[in-house]
Amino acid sequence: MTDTLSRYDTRIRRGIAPPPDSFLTNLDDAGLLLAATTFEYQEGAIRELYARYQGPLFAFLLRRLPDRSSAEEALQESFLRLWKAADRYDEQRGSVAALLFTTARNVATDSLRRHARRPQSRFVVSELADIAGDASAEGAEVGMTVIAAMQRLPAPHREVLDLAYWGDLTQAQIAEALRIPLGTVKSRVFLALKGLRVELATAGLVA
Amino acid sequence: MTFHSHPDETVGTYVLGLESDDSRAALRAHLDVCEPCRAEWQRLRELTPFLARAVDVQTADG
Repeated sequence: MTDTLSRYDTRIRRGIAPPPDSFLTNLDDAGLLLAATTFEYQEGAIRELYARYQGPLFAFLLRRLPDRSSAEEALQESFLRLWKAADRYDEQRGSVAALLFTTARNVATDSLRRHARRPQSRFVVSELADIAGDASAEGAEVGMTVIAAMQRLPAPHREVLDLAYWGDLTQAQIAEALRIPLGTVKSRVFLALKGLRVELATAGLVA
Repeated sequence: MTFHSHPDETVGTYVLGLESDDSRAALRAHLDVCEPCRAEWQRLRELTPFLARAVDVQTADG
């Protein structure tokens, strides 16, 4: 990737390259994030990532925050944090999309904390009553166990679960964000849940 | 819309509430008549309170 960029620089200097914007448009997300760490391409690369993700990301933030202006502010902040973290990005640990939505989730949480408001979950409270020690230390421990179990899932499986659950994205938005077919989203979600169930059974949380 | 084979993988997205209204109705109809799929659904739906708990922890800790 760095080679690609430096080769491209030479071509620009010789005046034979297409405009940088079309070069960036052809990069995948990870390539763009790498380009965002270079002085020459940082602005264009972030602009291109913004073009790719601002739609689903704004929708995601709108569902978590009380009003549009908070969501707009959080959207800018999310891309700023993504750009600041670009040089630490490790492709092995997840896609750029997953990183972006995780970042946005944290931004939204910070924003809500500042406003002393809690986000609303679309999942029904009655189901939570099934778990002992609701809102207690025991409940938090269960949560930590689940998070640890999710981290043991294969990255592509964890990623769809992240986007569906934390990201609160629709199937179509997940397919779009990860650039995979809808059928692949379905099968990965299915396999992720199957895998998670095995992990939780090992942890003694389910039979 | 009906399923002529086992919808298998759709059960996962159904459990997470990711399916459309049409698809949900079709899957529910299938679950009524298909024991293996219903068993799979039961197993996977047990996970949703655990996922919600994980979200709670993440939300509380940032």
